Amino acid sequence: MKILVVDDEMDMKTLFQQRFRKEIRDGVVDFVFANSGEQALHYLKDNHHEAVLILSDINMPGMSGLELLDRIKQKYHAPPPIVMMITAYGDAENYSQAMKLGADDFLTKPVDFTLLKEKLKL
Amino acid sequence: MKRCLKIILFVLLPFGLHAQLDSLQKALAVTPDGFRQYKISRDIYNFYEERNRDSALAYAEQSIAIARRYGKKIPEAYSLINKGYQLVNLGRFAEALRCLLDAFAIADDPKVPKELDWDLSLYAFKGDGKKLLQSYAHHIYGILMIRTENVEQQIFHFSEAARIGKEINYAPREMLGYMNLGQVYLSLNKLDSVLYYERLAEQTAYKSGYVKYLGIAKFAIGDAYQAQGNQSAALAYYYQAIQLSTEQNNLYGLSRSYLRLIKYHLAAGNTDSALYYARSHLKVIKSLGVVTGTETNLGIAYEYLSKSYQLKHQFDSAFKYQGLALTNKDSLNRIRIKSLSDFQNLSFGEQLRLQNLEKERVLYQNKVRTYALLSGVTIFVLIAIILYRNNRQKNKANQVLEQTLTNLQSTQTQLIQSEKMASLGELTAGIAHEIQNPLNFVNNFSEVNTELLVEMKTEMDKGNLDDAKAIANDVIVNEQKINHHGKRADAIVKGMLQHSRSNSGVKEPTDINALADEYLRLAYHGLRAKDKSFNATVNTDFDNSIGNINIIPQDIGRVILNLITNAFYAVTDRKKLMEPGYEPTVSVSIKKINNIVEIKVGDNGKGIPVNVIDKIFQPFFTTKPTGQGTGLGLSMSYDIVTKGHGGELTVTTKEGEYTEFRILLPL
Repeated sequence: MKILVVDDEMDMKTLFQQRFRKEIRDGVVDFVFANSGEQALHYLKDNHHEAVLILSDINMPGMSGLELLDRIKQKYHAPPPIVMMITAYGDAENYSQAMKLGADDFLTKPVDFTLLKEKLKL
Repeated sequence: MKRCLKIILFVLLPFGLHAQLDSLQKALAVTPDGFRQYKISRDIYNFYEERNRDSALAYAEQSIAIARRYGKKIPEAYSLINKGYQLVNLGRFAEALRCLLDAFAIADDPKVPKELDWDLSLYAFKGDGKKLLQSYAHHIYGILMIRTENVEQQIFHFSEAARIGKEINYAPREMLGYMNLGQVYLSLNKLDSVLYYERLAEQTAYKSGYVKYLGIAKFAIGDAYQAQGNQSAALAYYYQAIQLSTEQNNLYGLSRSYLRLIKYHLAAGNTDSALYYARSHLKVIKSLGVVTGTETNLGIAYEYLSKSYQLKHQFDSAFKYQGLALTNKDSLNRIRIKSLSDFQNLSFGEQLRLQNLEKERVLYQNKVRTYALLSGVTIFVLIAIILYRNNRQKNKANQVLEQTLTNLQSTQTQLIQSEKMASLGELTAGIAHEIQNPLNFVNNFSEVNTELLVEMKTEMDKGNLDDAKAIANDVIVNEQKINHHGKRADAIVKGMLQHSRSNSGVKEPTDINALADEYLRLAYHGLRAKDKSFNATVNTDFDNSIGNINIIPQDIGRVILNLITNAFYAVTDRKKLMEPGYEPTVSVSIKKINNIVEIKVGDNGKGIPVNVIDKIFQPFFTTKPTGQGTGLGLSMSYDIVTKGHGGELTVTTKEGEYTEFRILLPL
């Protein structure tokens, strides 16, 4: 399973690699990282069949996570990739807007990886 | 003997004078002119002055009456002194003193003019009439002091008489002053002083031609020689004295000159001469009238006549005159004692009067002083009251002003605080983001590390040291990340606290690039959190060579935050206009130019309208809707940069195109 992680925090890559090191070692998951919405779209454009799951931050310079969500949901219909929002802002407004734009799930930072793994059924 | 005959001739001469006196008296009775009346009366007085005391006194009184009738004060006083002189010689000291005091009063009266319009003198005196009176009155006062035996007063008054006489250049008064001073020193047996003053009197008399009393000066000089044992010189001066006194009809001088010759001849045993002069002496004394002088009186005349008869061995005559001498001396003593006691009473009364006058004067002065003091105090109190009132009003005004100022200051503090809180509110969302992110790493990396360490242990148990080492390396990297993000959160919290805290005002070395970056991120994320649609391109251009600069970090941070927030607002506003191809862009650049750090915050927003460009740094000016901005951001920023750091904050803008704020901080 290929997962695209979009976050402007560089250390997210290391964190995910470590958190999922067994799964990665066992070949269950494969991570791709993008530091901005633009980078993510760029990647999807080239490899849109690979990523089945997108984990995106909301608050990023340039294109925000919500904008990215909106674009993905509008552009990629079949099969639509699963998009989960991971944000530091757990407020109701962010949540409802994300849901309205078609987010499949909504997680807040600090990320509970046990919960995330459950959601990914890993 | 020849000289004696000559003298007898002089004594017989004055019959022509008596004829002259008769015509004067007749003229006095008929003349209607006041001055002439006075002049005639005074001429008659002068005739009798040293010839007959009672007549002289009568004419002195008449002169006073004439002067009073015509309201002539100075002539009145002058004749009062004449009267006083006669009274002194008559032994009526108390009356004499009154006359002299009256004369002094006129001389000292400022209402009396000093000019003489009636001639008083024998030498056409034209000077200060009041000074003339003073000199004359002092002189007679001195004589009164001789009779009442007050030596100190004698010297004082005669000196004054001579001094004033010299001052007004009137020889008779000057001469008489010297003459009497000599007499005083004679009584004190100070022979050098006698000779000094009598010679002065002599010179003054000859120089001026006023020789009426020169005989007295002469016999006084003779006395001084006699006392020095120079008999022949003394005798020569006695004869001169007799001659001059006779010529001047000065019986007073003559009688005293005779007395000296009598004493001389008695001592020399010249019986005939002694008897002759004693008889002449008695005749002159009788002619002079009642006299009470120590040397000039009937008792002395009889005494020396008796002594002369005794020397001639005519004891019956000697006995007879001895008896007369005793009787006269006795009555004279009684008169003298009565006069002296009268005088003392009067002078005591006069002293009382003077004391009362002095008291009144002092009282008056005190009154005047008291009134002056009172009015001074009143004025002072008034001024004090006015000053006090002014001061109180000022104080009141000051209190009001101070209160107002305090209110304003506290309001300002509150406003500044609310501005801080407002900007803090803008930051809250950004802060949440900035804290949750590091927290995410801290939590997760620490959990990972726990797992890794467990794995590492397992690998070590298995003996796979290489794998264990690899895991350990991961743990180290993770620990560094935990540490890094922990510090990141710490810095954010500290920054937030510093931002809201009151100004510490302490400058400290600060990495200006990091500071600007931190606030840029806070502002950006804060806005993004509030406004989902917000987006902007942020360009940064930091000069890494700057290093740390000395600033108050939270203050400058606040300025940068304020400028960046404004820039974001400006681009967001313009974005709402939906211009095609509009890319909201905010740029922050920091450069070091010589000794200045330049921080530029620019945006391609709507720009600032020309009509408000002057107001943007004013407190409370805002273009934001009511309730959304305090209007203190830019004014605070301006104060922080200029007052707090000695720098500059300027703006360049073009409406609808761009705005650029420029901070210049001196290093």
